[in-house]
Amino acid sequence: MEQTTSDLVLFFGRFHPIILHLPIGFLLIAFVLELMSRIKRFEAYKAAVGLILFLGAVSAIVAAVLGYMLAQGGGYGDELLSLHQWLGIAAALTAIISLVLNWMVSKNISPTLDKVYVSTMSVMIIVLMAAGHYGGSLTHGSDYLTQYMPNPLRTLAGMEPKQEKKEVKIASIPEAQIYHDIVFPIIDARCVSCHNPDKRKGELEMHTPEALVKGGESGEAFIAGNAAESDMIKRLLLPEHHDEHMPPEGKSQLTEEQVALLSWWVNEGAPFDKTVAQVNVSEEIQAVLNTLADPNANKSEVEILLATEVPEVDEQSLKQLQASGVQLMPLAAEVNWLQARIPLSKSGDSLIQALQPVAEQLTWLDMGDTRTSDQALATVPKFSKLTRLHLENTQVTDAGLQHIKDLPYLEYLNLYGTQVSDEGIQQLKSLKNLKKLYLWQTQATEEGVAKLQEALPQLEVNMGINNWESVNADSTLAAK
Amino acid sequence: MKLFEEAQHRNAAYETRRHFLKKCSSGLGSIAMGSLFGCNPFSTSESKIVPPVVGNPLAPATSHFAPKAKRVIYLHMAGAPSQLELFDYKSELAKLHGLDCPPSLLEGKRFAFIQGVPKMLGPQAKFAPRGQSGAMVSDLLPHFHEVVDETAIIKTLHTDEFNHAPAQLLVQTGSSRLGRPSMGSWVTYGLGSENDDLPGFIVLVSGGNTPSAGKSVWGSGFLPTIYQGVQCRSEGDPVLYVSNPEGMSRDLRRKSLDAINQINEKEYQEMGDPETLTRISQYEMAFRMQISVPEIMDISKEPEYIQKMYGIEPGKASFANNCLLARRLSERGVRFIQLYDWGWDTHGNSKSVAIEHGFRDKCKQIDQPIAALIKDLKQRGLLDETLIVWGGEFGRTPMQENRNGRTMPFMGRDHHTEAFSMWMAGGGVKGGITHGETDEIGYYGIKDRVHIHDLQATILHLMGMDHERLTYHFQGRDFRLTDVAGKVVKPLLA
Repeated sequence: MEQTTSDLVLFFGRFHPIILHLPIGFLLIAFVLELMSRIKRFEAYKAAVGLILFLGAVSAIVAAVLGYMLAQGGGYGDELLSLHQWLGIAAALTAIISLVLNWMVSKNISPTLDKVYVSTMSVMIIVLMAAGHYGGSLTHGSDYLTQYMPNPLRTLAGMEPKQEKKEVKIASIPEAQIYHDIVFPIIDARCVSCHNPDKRKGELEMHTPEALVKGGESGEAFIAGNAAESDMIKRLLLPEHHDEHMPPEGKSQLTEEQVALLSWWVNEGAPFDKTVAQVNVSEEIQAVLNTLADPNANKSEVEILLATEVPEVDEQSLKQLQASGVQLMPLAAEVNWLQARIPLSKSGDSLIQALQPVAEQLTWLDMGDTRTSDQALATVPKFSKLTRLHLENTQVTDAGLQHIKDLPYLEYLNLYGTQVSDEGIQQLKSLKNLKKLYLWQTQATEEGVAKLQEALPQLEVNMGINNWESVNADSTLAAK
Repeated sequence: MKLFEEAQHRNAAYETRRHFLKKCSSGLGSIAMGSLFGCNPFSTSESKIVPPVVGNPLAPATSHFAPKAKRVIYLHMAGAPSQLELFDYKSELAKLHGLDCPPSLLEGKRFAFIQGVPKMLGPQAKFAPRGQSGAMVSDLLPHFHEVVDETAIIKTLHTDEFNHAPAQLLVQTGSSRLGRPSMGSWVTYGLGSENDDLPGFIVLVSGGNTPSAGKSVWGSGFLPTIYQGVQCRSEGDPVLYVSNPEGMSRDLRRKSLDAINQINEKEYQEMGDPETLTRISQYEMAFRMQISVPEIMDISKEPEYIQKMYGIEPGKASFANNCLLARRLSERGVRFIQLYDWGWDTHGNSKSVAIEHGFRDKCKQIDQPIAALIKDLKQRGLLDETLIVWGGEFGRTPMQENRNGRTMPFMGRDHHTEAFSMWMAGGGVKGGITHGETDEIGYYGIKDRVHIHDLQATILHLMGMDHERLTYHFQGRDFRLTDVAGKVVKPLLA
């Protein structure tokens, strides 16, 4: 049963949410004034009730008509919609009846008629409230009002206490249920608020496996085993401003990782009962899955360190330190980690002492191309959070390196143009996080480096190009 | 009566807009409020984190987030090198070589020179997988093969402009019209300079010509002029008038500078024009540059094997010299070093701009120095924090150019906006990858297209800046390098 609704109907229908608040306001005010006018002091209000009731009744009719037009567009749960619709019509009808009764009462003051009039109005208000409530449920979801209700109130209202909704960490990735533990939480957070029995956008419900398999207006939500052709995945991948992109522009979007997980699930046949161990897991998906068990899974120790908070250095001490001649500044805005640089014309030997008050915050230290010697390095172990250290073209020797071995987070060490040798660099073996070491124009040799790399297999050592001419000749040959 | 008119006229001339606005404090108060609070008082966009109102406008500033790259060396091949002979190998195009171009590629398209029905032009170079990553690079860049694993090649750049000047402006300033700040200006505005004795943004030009768009490609637009690129010459005096004139000693110069600075400071107190601050710091910078620049720009002091490695030509303005200079400048902490090399507009209408002749020579000129630059930065530990960007302003067509509908004497390709290649290396870029894919003939990007604004957003991101937050309030609204577009290309990030 394919029925098309004219654009004009839908266009006017969209004005329903704008108009509907008028009857609510008018009718409520009419009721309040009617009651108040029964007190002698406020008798004068009586005259206004008729006009306000009239405005309320007219706007109620308009709102009902527009609401009917809006409903033609579809996308709402039938049950809730019909309840809202009939309550809305009832509200308009009771408003009209109240208006007529009001007119009659003003002509002929009979106590019975007056009772009927006030009762009709009371019914009207109740119906109006109910219609409004279910209307709200249609647009915002039926648990909109109660979502953040405090638990004591919930108990009073006879509802289940709220479940603490926190990011559920998965204990064991291989044993995790793909749909239940990984896929559904994503769908639940991003899709279900519009695709549920009450608000079936595009005739699609996504709250249960059965509903998801059933699909919606434009057919199947997914084709098991083929994410590229699955409507659900295709819409996620469309540009955000595209009309068919999901979730609609302006709503919270899925992260790239979440999209990758959904695509993976569909590509693996969209199983509802399998565990991770039972399907193929690519390296990229594994990396994403790891973060579900531990958000820091793919981060290095240094990245985790720099993501932690350190106490702020107050501006005055920072200014003082800067005045001492060190270039000192935060790593980034709103981050308390600091980077320092010894100016080219100065020596780190004396200036490093000045940095001691920020030992906890200092993570990048650049003493390269200065007259720094081993003397400065004696202080370096105090800066235990250093991750980058520039010592290139300084007077540093093997003797100085013994102080560097106590920097657990050191990731980058530049020693090019110094007097260090094979013997000295062996002391770096304890630097488990060291990733890059620069040794061009030092006494270090290939053998010494190989020995160091045995202990630190992840270490990348750059010895530079000392013999450029032979390299050059080789490459020209290779090119021919 | 004439005297009266003159008096009136003079009075009117004195009453400038500034005076008018100053007087009408009440009536125009709302305008002032507007500019104070901006259009949206709840706007969370912070243009600059530490606005250097007084003091040195080039003082180093904090980035939005921890940067991967501290500086940029941007190598712009002015004229647009052909991606089909360098990085984007298309075997299908080789099969179509010499056939008429199908109408579907021509309909509704505008070209700079192609008319009627051109012939297809197959790749004019030999390709093979290079490096460990196996990226397809042609034999025109033999030295580049050695560093290909350091680079991320982007094959799907696309632009909106098919003429040189606007396209160069779009790449360098984010807009194809004149008057916007260049990328180097934005970066120095955002981050300041690490070296007090040198400008934060230095420009070196080779190839015999400046880019078609002129000096606007390194201009500061509406940013204070302290952020504009300073062009250094690679032959003769690196900066004109860098030495003291006869009869002027350094002491005397210092004294006269102090006097001028005092006057300028008074002027700033009164008017508050940031250009006055710029002027003070420019004078100071020039004074300090007198000592630092001749030393840094003297590449003859480099050891011989380094000179050979780059293949420099002392005393000449060459791309190789500029690459070596770029390394020296980056060592001294210059924030943005922009190299322009002219002569990449290979239309095939003469031998020097023919793909089989002039283009090969151009490739030869840049190949060795670029490889040397990457290796040299690497052995000094600088490549980790120096971002290198290479590319032109657009690409070249898979069709052979047929200017005025005639076959050209040489192989040439017309301007092409839909797909072209660039690469980035160092400073937080994932090495040894190829991003994006073009169709079988390299006409159109079919996977992971990258717009110029995306590239700009990515470069700023690597420098630790959010391209949406690096803004400057001008003429009533916030401007940014990426205009209203741009998305960081995440797969390129290490």
